[in-house]
Amino acid sequence: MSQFEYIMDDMKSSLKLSFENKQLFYPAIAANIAYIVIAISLMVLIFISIFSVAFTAAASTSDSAATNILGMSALIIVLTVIGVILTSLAFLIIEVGSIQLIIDVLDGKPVTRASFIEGVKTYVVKIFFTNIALSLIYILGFVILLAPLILYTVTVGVLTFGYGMLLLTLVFQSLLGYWVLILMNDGGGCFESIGKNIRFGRAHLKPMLFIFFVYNLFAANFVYQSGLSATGLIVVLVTYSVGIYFRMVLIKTYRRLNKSL
Amino acid sequence: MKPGLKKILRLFDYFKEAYRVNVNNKSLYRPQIIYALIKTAMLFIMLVFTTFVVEDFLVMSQQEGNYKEVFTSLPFILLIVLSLLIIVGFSIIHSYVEAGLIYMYLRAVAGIPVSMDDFKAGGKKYFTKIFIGNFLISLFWFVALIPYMIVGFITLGIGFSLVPVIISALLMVWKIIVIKEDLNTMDAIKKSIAFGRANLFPASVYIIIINTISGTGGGGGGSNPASMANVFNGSSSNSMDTSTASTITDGTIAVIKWVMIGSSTYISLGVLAFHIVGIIISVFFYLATVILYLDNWSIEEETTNEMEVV
Repeated sequence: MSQFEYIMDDMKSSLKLSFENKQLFYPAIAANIAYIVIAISLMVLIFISIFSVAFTAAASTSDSAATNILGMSALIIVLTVIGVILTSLAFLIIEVGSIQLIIDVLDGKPVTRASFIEGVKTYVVKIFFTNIALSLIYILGFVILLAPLILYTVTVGVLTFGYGMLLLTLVFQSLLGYWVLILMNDGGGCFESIGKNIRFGRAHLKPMLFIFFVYNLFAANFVYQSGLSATGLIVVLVTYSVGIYFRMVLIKTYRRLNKSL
Repeated sequence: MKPGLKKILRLFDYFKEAYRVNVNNKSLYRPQIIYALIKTAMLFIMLVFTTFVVEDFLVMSQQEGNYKEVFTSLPFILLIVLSLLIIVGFSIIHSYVEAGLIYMYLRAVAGIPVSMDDFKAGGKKYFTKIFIGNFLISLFWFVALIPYMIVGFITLGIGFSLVPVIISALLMVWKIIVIKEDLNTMDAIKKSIAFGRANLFPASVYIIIINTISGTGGGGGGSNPASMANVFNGSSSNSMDTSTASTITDGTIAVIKWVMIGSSTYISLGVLAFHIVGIIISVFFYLATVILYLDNWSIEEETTNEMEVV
């Protein structure tokens, strides 16, 4: 059988497991609720910020106005930063817990809340700090590679009508896009998993490019093509569910191909 | 598990089979590539004509009151005539290409080696039936436009996406039926609707999958002519103000002309690239649909060689 046919089998058995284990998608519901709560909180924060600054400016004498507005702005910035960190943490908890559930389903174990919590307890802190470290490395890498990236965008990117940029994204995802899955599947350390991801991605570039190509199309288009985007409130649920399904496909493919690595 | 879900799972077996047929029959792509080249050439010619019309417009707008003459100028008339010819011509060519391709797909799935002669034979034999069907479906959409809009608004926008999906699911296999069973257009459409109704949920999911994947090659063709039209409209409204227009020098007009010709070349090549990606996706899914129909979308599982990894 060709690699394409093996991937079709991975996708088929993952979809079958998804149909049989609907609890896998409870984290997607949680993500959707979290998204709505955050969106409302953000609107309230913006509303309070505007009125606080306006009130402070109106109630202060001209000498103290600037100081008061600065103080209020600093408070709003601190609150926003705390909000961003808490949001990232909330979504990370949902992601890590859902990956644990996927691994349990693939191992033939029942899906339980205890398993979700256990997965979160074991991995969430180290993944959170590794993500921060990786973000810093990405920013640094981006700054260093800015000139070649601009050159690539205006030459290969433009001449290939955007397909060159798509390929660059897919290669990046294939080499670094699923180290969390590898970490939770294999155990070990975060940077060890990143190394495994790069080695695995290089050894099996074509199948991983294909999976990420289809994954990106579904993540971007499925909700709109199915008409579900019109409902607005469940966009996150659908997009997250697509993500859960493709994570399962990725782990299945990783397990299958890893035997030969 | 419900039969509808089992049928969705079965799609992956059809995709595998479509892939095998695809790999063994590279000649399936030849007619589509030729067709894509013709379409791109036509687009390029239209864009170049548009450039000449814009050039005329800019030149005439410099002479007060003369800008209206652009509508009677040769490039403008040729552009209108060419556009009409292309619209009518392509609706005819499209039906011929579809008839030829589906004939080729059916032979390829049956394991018969295919060639351009099969394409020509299929196109010649089934063109009329496919053309009539395409025309009737276009007519249906024209008549159903207002009810479709109403349904779309009533369902808060969901209907705008779901109605075309359901209609496509019902009409999914009529062209295959015309050629496979040599039925007339109406009988084939009726049979396709019966097939679609029997498999409405999985067929709708299948259509959504196709649309989701086809999204890759979709955007290029539609937006560019529209943006060219905006360029044209923009320049026409500006040229009403003759004092502004008179400041445009011949040199500027020449630069605009060559920039537009350069853009036309780039847009045409971009559309060709989108077409090629679209062709790969279209051949694959058409083969899968042929296989699905010939199998009557059974839910018996194919024995796979999947390695069970736990």
